[in-house]
Amino acid sequence: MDYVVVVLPYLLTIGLLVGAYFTGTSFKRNKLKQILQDEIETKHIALATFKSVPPDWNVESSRLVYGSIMVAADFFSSFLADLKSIFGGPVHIFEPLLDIARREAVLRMKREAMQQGFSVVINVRLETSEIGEGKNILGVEVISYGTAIKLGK
Amino acid sequence: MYLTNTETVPGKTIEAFFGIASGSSVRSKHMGSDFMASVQNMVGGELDAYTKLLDETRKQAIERMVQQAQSMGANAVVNVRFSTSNVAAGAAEIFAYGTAVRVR
Repeated sequence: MDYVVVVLPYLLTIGLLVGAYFTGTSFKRNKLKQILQDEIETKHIALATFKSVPPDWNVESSRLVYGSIMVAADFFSSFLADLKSIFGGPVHIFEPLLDIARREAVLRMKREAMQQGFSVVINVRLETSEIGEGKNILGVEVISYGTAIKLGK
Repeated sequence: MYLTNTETVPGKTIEAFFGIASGSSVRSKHMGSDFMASVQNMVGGELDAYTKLLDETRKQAIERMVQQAQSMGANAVVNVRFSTSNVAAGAAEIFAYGTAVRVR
């Protein structure tokens, strides 16, 4: 009976890790599928990082647009990253999540521009910030913003 | 009110310049959704409650910046920037700032 008490916490942790692996991966897989679809849907909105409008453009109107998302890593990824930090080196496990977050933030910005009939977004900026403190990091917020432009004839 | 993050309002000319307009807003989520967030931290994925919270906070910061610009007599804020910082665990500050100008 005694050994059950000793083993139980380990079993729980392993269970949580396995569960987190599946939920984390399925979120990433589903979200990526949706992002690929949405990117096709919004591909007629052009994005650029230049700071001002080229002089030969005929601008009808302009407006600030933005999109944001906050994501959290799953327990499995953060556990692996903790392990990895013992040896140092690249932590590839977070890359897909951040890639998804950035693309989704950009898509939300594009959608806002699209709804109001804009065709170009210039001076696009991406910003990432941590929400939460110390060990209690809740997640990462990604915001994408830029100036949407409607071109006249 | 024109808002842009470029140096001018495209297609308009700047007539007058009033200096920096800024607005900030701090918000935190109630404990219930903080608990949900820590569950979500296990599972991974988007924290919808927080995405919404930060979005509302950003809207309010922009609104305050716009109010300040209006009181200066401006009709546009150019070169708008955002910054996000943690004030305490679970509370986030969003700061929006830009240059208040009058355009024509």
